Amino acid sequence: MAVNHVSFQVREGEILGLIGPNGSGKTTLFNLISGFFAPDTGSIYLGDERLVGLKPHQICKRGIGRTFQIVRPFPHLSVMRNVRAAVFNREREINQANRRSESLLEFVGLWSKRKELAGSLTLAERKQLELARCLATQPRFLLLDEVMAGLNPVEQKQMIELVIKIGEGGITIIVIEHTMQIIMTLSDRIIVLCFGEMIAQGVPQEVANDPNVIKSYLGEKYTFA
Amino acid sequence: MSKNGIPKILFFWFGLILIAVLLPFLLPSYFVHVLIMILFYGYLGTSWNILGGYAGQFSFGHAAFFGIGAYTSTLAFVNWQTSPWIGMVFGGLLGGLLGLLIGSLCFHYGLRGPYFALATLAFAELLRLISLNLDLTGKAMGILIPLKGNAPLSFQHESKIFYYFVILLMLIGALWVTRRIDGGKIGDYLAAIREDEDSAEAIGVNTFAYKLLGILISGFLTALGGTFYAQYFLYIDPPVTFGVGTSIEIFLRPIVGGMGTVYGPIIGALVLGPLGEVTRGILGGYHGVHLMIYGAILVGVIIFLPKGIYGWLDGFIRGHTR
Amino acid sequence: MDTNILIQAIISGLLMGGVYALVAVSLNLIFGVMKIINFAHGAFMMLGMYFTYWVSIFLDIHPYLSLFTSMSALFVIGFLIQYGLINRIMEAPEHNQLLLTLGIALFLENLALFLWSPNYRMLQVTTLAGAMHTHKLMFSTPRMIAFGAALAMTLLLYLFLTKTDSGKAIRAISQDREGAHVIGINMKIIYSVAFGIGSACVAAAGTMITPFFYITPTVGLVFVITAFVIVVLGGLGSFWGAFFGALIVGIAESLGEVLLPGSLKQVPIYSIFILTLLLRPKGLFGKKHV
Repeated sequence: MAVNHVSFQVREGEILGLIGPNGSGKTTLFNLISGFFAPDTGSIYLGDERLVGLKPHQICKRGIGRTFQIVRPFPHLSVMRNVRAAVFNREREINQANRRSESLLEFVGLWSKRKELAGSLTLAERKQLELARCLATQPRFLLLDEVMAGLNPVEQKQMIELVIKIGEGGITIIVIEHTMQIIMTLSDRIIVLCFGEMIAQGVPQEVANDPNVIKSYLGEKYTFA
Repeated sequence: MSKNGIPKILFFWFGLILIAVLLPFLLPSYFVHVLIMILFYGYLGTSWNILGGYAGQFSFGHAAFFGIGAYTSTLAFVNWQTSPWIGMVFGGLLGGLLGLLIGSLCFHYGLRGPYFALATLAFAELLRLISLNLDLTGKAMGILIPLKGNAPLSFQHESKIFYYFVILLMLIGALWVTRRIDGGKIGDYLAAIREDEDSAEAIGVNTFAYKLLGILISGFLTALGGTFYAQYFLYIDPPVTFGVGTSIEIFLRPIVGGMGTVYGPIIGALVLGPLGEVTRGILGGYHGVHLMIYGAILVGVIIFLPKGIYGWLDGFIRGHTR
Repeated sequence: MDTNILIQAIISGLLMGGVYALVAVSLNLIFGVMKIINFAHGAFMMLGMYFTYWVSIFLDIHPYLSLFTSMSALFVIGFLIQYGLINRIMEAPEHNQLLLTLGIALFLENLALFLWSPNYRMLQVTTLAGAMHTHKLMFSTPRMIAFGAALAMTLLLYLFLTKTDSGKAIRAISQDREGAHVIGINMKIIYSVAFGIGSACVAAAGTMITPFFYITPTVGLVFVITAFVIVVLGGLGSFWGAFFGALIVGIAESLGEVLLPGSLKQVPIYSIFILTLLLRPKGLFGKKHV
């Protein structure tokens, strides 16, 4: 069982961190929420709306956006077109769609690359592109799956700032990350998964000192200075 | 760029249209036939391209739509004296409906890539076998369309020029549809589906619905082509309408010319058409002999010009205008 | 319906199924190793048949005697085609690979049409011909020999893949492309050898059926489509799936012939195909996730 008896609530406007060792079920959880997998039992609610059984594009329309662990832009399309395809989710008219795409690219810092083919971007740029695409669908809720992976420290810092900026815009975010440090910086609250089960939840300080959490990370103890 | 405020490109188009309109009157009948065949396969290729090139769902069985169109208008004409023009519209609708049927089944069960291609082939073959064994469709003998002489209202004329303009208009219509798709929301959505279906879903694209839209439009247009064929050659039978050979001829032009581009199929038709005729002239003999050259060209294009001729030209021009 | 006729049909279907098995298993080999859907497989079978035909006529020998030469010839042709053409596009998207083999098939089929005309040819054999009769049932000798030879060759192929070093190398590649690459196996050669073996096998099938099957340039198309149906039914990548799928399809086709009018005998095959694709794309024994 990839995910077993995981039950939690997310408060509007918060940034929720989701951590756990490899294979603990984090991405599976995202797949369940975004509609790519169907749960065997249990339910998922966005406000009062039941999400189970909806297809991914329907869930997207309800306001949940997600990124993938392995970044998947549309490689043979231009950066601009990548974003515009997502913008058409909310816009109908092409000129407006173009304008919105450009402003989104500016927001994430990719405007100068808008005519390049997405396949030729660096990893950091692709992640920015994916964020732009997500934001284009005007989500109330964002699932970020290891958005920092593979980035160097400078790029990571920029990405953290971007995520915080997005959070300040009022969007609720669940972040999956590997590095404790990043999660601690970003999150208002944290949930810890291990072998598909939830072993802790709470504010970063609590979680960092939780004995179960420390055990599962093999003794990595982080003191919140 | 502009001369007296008139863009140069307009001169190009005007000149092209002028040539296109005058040509059939200036050339001997045989050449008009060659032109008609080029436009005809260009039209079919453009119709295929909407599903295969734009939506990225490669179909090996477009003959299914082609045949439905051909048999519908022909049977309506032969049995109930319905004008083939009306029959053409009905054939188109049936073609679209067949597209929805095949699409719903295949896309619902998530058939992609080669599996989808082979499934469409199977559907076309089933239709061929059925028409081969039904009295209604004339079995192996096929159906002869009765000669009406100069009867444009019955979609017939003794002069090829009539057919030339009909197919030219059909082609322009198909190109217009393609351009509308290419530039707007549908084009972006189909491109997204083509590139990465899961990502497309994640950004809110109803991939099932849009793929169906693609096969609906493609099936409709292809079926119209079937009626044209019936009225031009005045004879249809199962292999020529539903056969694998027809399906291959249909997708060959877009592949060679450039899938997923507006003018790719026409370019493919412009290259393959004359080549086919020349081959037949030199090697003579059997009906399918030009396919030998087409096979070789297909191999060559896949290896050396995977984006088709248009893609190669496009890259070439980009590379030289920086 | 006379049960005799039904039993006869099942037997004929089974015998033909054996031949289909060789065709399907060799197609499966090519797919398993290279992930290539080889549309030209039928064309190679056709070439094997014509090769046997001409050798048989010019040397005035029984077609079975040309088996070794037709297999060798098609091994070489297959090897060269993989090495020279298909190897170049191993990294290309799937549908491009399909189109390449389709192009090769188109070329070969129409080349044959051009060289040898569409006229049906038939080899008249006097030895090992005729039939055996038992219990009101007829067993055509050439069909039985074809069945036996096909089975033997299928078994040989299986042993080759499982017992010999080269065979194991080939299987290693099909299971893990990158891993095999890393330990230094020359991929290009192995691919070409595998393709050559697959082609040789299907040529053998062609040779063995010449005593009772019409030889014509387009004969390959029907066989390759049937082979696809079989491979999908049995499960892409599964050796025994292809084998048993072939027997099933052979019997289904034969029953279709006696139960359905006209050329509708292929309808059950296409229907099975579509149903398999839709409902159980992994096939009966398939292990690969589609």
